[in-house]
Order: sequence, then C-alpha cells, then structure tokens
Amino acid sequence: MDRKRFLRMCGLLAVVLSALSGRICVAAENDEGAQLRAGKNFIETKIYTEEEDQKALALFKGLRVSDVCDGMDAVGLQNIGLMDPEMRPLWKDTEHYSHRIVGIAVTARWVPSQKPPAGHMPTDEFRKWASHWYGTYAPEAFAPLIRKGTVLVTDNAAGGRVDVGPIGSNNSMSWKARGCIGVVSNATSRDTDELITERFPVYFRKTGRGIRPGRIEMESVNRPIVCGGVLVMPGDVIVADGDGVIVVPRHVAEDVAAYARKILEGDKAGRRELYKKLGLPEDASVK
Amino acid sequence: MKSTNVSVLISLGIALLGPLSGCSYAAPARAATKAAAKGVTTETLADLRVGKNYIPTKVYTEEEDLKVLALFKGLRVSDVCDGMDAVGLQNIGLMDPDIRPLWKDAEHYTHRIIGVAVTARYVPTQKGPAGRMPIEEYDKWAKNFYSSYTSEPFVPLIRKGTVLVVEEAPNADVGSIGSNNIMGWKSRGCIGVVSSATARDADEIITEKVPLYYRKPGRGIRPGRNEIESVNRPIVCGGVLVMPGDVIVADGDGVIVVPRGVAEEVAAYAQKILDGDKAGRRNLYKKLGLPEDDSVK
Repeated sequence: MDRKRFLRMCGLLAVVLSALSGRICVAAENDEGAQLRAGKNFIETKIYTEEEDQKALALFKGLRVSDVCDGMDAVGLQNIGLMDPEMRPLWKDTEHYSHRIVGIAVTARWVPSQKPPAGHMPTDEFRKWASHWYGTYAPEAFAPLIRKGTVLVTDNAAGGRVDVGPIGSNNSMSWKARGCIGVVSNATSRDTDELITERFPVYFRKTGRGIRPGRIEMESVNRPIVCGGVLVMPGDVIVADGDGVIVVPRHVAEDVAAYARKILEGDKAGRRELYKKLGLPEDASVK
Repeated sequence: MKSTNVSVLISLGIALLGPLSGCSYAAPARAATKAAAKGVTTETLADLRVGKNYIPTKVYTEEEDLKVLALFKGLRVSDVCDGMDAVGLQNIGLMDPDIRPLWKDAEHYTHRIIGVAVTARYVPTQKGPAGRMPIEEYDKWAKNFYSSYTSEPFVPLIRKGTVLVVEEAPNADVGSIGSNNIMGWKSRGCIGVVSSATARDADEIITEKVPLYYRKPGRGIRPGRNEIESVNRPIVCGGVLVMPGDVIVADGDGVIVVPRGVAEEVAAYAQKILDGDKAGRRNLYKKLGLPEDDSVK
C-alpha cells in the first residue's frame, strides 16, 4: 500500500470510527438490553410536505382559539390540547389581530445544562467559551426546518426555572425570514420590547434574560415535546390568540377545523346582528 | 431514535451555530447560519424533520455503578452539595426543594437513597379518554393503552443500585408510580424512585418503606393520561438535567444529581465534609450528654 492510499484509509477509518463513537458500547454488548440502556425514544413522528401543511392551514384560516377548542370538544378531545392559560401573547393587536397565529409546529427541546458556567476569565477567552458552547451544545438545529407556515414551539429548560432567553429579537427575525409566523415557548424569551416593535408573535410565560451558554443545551428537534402542560407533536396545528394556545393533533385537524368553522360563522353572524342593533360599525372581528 | 454520536453533534453544532440575539457575536453567527442553510442537503433535512436527539448518553456496567456508589455510601445531600460546589457545579444538580420524600425515618435514615439513575420520560397524551363504553370494552381499551402507549419499558434496565428517575406529564393527575409496580421494581434491585411530579398509593408506599421522592399525589391510571416518550434519555426532573448513569442522592433535604463524570471528585470532597461534621457533632453530643445516634456514627 503506498503512503497516499494508506493515509486515505486512515482517514476513512477515522471517519467511520468517529461516526460510531456514540454507539461503540452498544455494539460491543450487542443485545436489546444494551440498546435500551443507551437510550431509546418511543413515540413516532410523522412527516408532512409543505403543500400538506398549507392545505391544512387553509382550513384554519381566521379561526380563533375558542372556535378550535369547540372543535376539539366535538372530536372527543376536550381539554387535550389547551395549553396553560399562563402561556400568553407578548403583545396584542385588537384592531387587525396580527398577533394571532395559525401554523404548523416545528418542535425543539432545550434542557438545563449540567456543565459549569464560565467563571471569571479574560474576555477573549470568555467569547471563545461562549462561541464554543453555542456551536457545540446549544445550536439552533431546528432552523433549517422552518418554512412557510411554521410555528416554532419550544420546550424551554424546565418551564422557566432557568433565566435564559433562547428566543430574542435577532434570531426571531432570521426565523421569520425563513417563513416562521410565530413562536410558542414553554417558558422564556428575551428582548421583549423589540419583539413587540418587530410585531413578531410570541407566546410565552415570562421573560428570561441570559444567553444560552452556561445555561441550556439542545436536546431534540421535531421530537414530541411538552409545552404549556400539553403534548406537541411536530406537524400539529397550532392556533394562538389572546385566549392562549391550543394544539390540534394533525390527524384530527380537518374535522376540528370543519366544526370550528361553523362555530365561528355562527358567532360572527350573531355578533354582526348585535353590532347593527347597537349602531356599531363593523370591525375585523365580524368581517 | 438513539443518542446522536458526538461527531455529528459537533459538526451540526458548528454548522448550525444560531444567530445570537442582543450580543456582539450576532454577525459571525448570522454568517454561520447562512452557510449552514446552504449546506443542508435534502437528505439531512428529511432526517431532521423526522426528529432528532442531540445529547449523547453513556453506558456503564453494573460493576462500574457499584464502584462509584461505594464512594457515596453514607453521604448526605448537604455533603454532596458541598462537593458539587467544590468542582465548580454550584446549583447545577439540586432539584427543586418541592421534590421531597414521601416518608422519613429519622432513626435509621432508611428513606435516604444513593443510586445510579435509570431515566424515563412520560408525556401527556393527545389521545382522548375512553368516554362511556361497556365495561368489557373499557377494560380492553385500558389494556391496549397500557401496552401500546404507556408501558414500562425501563423495567429491564433496573438492577442493583438503580434509582428510577421519572419525568412525568407535568399537569396530569396521574399515578404512574404506585404501591404495586414500585415493589416490582424493588424486586429487580431498585432502591428508590424520584418523580418530577406525581405518584399514587401514597399510604401503602409508606407502609412498604420504598423510598419515593416526588411533588404531590396523582391519582389516575396512565391510560388516557400519559404516554412513555423515552427511556434512558436525558430528562428534566425537579428543574435539573438528569442523565442516565448519574449518581442520585436523596434525603430529607431533597434530591441532588451528580453528573457521572465528576462523581468521584464530588464524593471525595463530600466525604471530608461528612467526616468533619460527624466529628464536630459527636463532640457536641458528648458535651451535652446525649447518646450517639446514627447521624454521628
């Protein structure tokens, strides 16, 4: 074997070895128990195309959380998808309802870290440390999944026990640029003043100020997460407005939307009449 | 999905370095994201869309477990907390003080546990409750729900020295842990259970003297309420990360999680604290004419 070929082989071997490094122990034991011990997830997820997403979303256009809640009742899922009412919009627009979102969930789960904070170090080193943490432990791995109609739903490090803002006025704009129509966070967000200025819909519990390094790590993307006390599967329909957030399991989305539509139309007709009787001008809520 | 391997994690990390809000790294981070968006192939995107986990886990043998547990023998949460401080992990592993023992034995401290974590994560279900149906059908429904969605796949992992740590559906009034299954786990070597939320049959579990640390009672059965999401994956319990293989120490002061990688160092420091404290209190007992109890022996 010549030197070049030998080196190439070594390189290949290194790639294969590094690719296997996480599973070496498992391979050595090679039985079901060992595989289980290495960690296993159980709930299967489904993949939808952007066209399928858009088709589902068209059915939900203009529906309010209350309509959708009625639709969930009608398919036997009373109280299943309603997030804690503590999960609320950062800002409201009661003229044109631009804070409302109807979208398809891309999910992400952050967990608190076991790794220590940086401690006091020279600023240059701190920047390196933070940059390394971002790249290695807390990247926004979900970003490439964001497309037209996406609502990013995050389970955010222990429901707010960590004072961290993985959602801010900068990254939210980059997600928006990819088609993200809003964010739902099980806990925190920062730069809240600017997020209001930017008119980016955020539903969350409270502010979280810190950067991710030293605080959280990315655990999963598009896996089942718990947000506002309920299960969110990637691909679920997310509807959010001043009443909070509701999650519609994708397989019942059509039925839920159909029932909810009837409720909305009935409500609009009724209120239109009342507005007329009261001599009030029609607003966006009855149009 | 199993834990992602380290190299993929790192390359993903480098590739997807996220835009950082409100700080001066924003420009390079944006550049990295742009580059990443270009570099993502259809294949990797499909992999990602179907769901991906990032934090790698480690597997330990029973012998390794018992070796590390020997170092922690007799240590209290407070000692271990001091040990965590000493290795730079202040406040990292302490669960919410709301997670507390169901029962205490202030004579022989049999409610205390020191073990190695096997983790399980239940999530709330999206599937509706059974509704009204004939009892036979209901029984079938419940049985099917148990086996299809909310089984106990962690059971085969329980061995000598195991502490089962459960992340539970946060808002569910559910008793995934009860006086029956907890005895089943005990028979396999489980020395105690920690739950982020609930358990049922509280009275009997006290009678059975199986150590349980939790927040509050949850009464319902699992069908219609939760589903098993993962086993031996990273979970969040009491507000902190628990990795399978971590050392769990729990007593009247609550629960602390020691990352396995620092367990030896933490134990060594904690042991010094405990020895010092015992010697000091033994002296005070003597001075006060008190008989020695288990806490100073």
